[in-house]
Amino acid sequence: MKNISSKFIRLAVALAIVAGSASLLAQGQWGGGPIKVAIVTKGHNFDRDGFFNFWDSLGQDITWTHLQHPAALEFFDPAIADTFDVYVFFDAPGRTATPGSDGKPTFEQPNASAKKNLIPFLQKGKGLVFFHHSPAAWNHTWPEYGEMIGMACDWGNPVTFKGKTYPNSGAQANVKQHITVVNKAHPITQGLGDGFDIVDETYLCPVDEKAKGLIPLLRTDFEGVDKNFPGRYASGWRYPGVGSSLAGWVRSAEKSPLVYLQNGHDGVAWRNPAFQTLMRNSIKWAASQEARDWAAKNPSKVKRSSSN
Amino acid sequence: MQTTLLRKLMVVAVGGLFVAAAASTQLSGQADRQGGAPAAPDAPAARGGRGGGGNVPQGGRGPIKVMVVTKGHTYDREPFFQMWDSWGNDITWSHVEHPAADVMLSPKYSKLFDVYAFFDIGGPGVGMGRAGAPAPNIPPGSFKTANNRFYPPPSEQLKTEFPKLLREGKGFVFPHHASAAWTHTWPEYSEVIGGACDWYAPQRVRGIDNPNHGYFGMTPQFISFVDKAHPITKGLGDGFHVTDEAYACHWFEDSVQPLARTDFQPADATKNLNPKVKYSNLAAWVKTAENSPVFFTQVGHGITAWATPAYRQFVLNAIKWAASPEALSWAKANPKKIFNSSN
Repeated sequence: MKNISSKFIRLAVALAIVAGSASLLAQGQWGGGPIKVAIVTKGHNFDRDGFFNFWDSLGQDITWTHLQHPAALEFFDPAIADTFDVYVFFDAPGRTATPGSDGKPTFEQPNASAKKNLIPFLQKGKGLVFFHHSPAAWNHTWPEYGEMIGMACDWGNPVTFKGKTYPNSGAQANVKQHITVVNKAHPITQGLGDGFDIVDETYLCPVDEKAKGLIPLLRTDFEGVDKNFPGRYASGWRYPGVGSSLAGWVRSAEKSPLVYLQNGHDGVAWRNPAFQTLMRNSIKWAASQEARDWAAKNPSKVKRSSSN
Repeated sequence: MQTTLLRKLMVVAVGGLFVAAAASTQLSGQADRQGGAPAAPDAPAARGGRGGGGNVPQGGRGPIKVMVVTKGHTYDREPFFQMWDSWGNDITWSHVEHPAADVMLSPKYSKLFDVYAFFDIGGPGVGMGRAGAPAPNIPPGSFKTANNRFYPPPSEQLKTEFPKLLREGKGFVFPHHASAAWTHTWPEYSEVIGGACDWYAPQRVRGIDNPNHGYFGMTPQFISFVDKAHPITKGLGDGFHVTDEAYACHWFEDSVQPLARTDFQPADATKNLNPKVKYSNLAAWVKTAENSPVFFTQVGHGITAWATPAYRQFVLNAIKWAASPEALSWAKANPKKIFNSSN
């Protein structure tokens, strides 16, 4: 009888958890909050259910719209950019090399209008949040784009960043890390205390720590050296020096406030309450008049593309 | 004592089930008819879809460029996306939701896509909610129904640009609840599709007042092909069995070229349709809208349909047909004027 009772207790607890999950989802697909957010993806597979459930969980603050390439870059057109308040990037297009007519690898180009529209778009003062693998977008065909973020990655090809070529980037999944808040006064880090623990994929990519106007917010205790990427290291991959420990920053891009968060690979991170706070704060800050005023007063020039 | 405790625990357990069920039926918008339960939020990355198999990435890599439009009706997302990925050797698909989709439906962006596929409800109804609940945001120009629901109108940009896109000649594919888009606010849009639905409010369609349309979940049906020579049905046999949500909606039999019919019959169609409107068992058709080929199928609510191989082949054929030079030529040779030339 005791066994039966304990089974029912477990069943009741399980049902309560189910009810809790359903309650979370009851905010509805796409949310209903006041901040209109475009979630940009394509070019990197991801756990779609987990990812979209994560965005639903922020639904009291945001109403989100999934927007994939190639449609996404059209929204750099200032005439339609105000369809959204904040653009969040979880994309990584332009990494697949195909042989060109001369036999050399060629990479996918962004939309023809995007390079022309980017700077007028940024001068409008739009909120931009890049996270995790998004600095892998357009490295080979639009290097100025990665410079705007302050970081560039490609785990399958060498990366040229700010005129210097680096080996293939490093990526290591399921790494236990402590993320330390290094700017406790910024609106994005509120509620995070001194920092948080997270299990997430970490990277070894070139980061422009000295980029004009870059304000560090977070650092990881993971040491970015090639030996800490054992799979790649064992296959002979080597990376020079020690990578940046920066795990989050803000900067301006022309008059637009820009956030980058290195965390956020999969459901393990998306379910971490600290990451949820971090993303919620980032979007709210990027959408705020305060952030737009800050970016307008502290603008950073974004290089025009040299290839158009 | 133990018996009492056991009873209490059973009450808690059953109560938990009811809470979970109730919460899942309170999803926003038209969520009360969502197909299938959402997947557990702890789905590992590998479960999140590796694409279409055979190293086909999420989004596919095929030659036909498809824009897949959703929003306005919740759905079981991952299985839906996996169906699209399964076609990944034939199509490259991009998910573009409202309101971004409304912007993209313009000749200005038409080079990006060959086919537009809709699993949305544009301008979905919003109920006023329970007493004491926060008032929903009602956009200006919304249509109010007799049962206190509000339907936002299409943007002026969409009303201007969408007809131009249809005149340019592109492929359009509308499965299932896409038939409920803009029913109250943009009757020409229903003419593009070839029918109209609203299961939550009475509506006027082609000047006829209907009660709430009907929906009948998890209905075993046989879908019979009535035109076996069409490229969409050719080689697929007589039809297919499917368990899916069936409708009693206002289909425009006189304006479409039937491809398939269902053997489902509602017990009393007058509950869902004005007696002047005969229940139509149409389950799929093609037609033209301006210079564009259009395909609609009533089938495709949820996983039970999406996992049916015959259904997948049927819709893939429809996408390939909509993108084909033959379909585009056919539409241009048989145009159906729907919109005034001024818009």
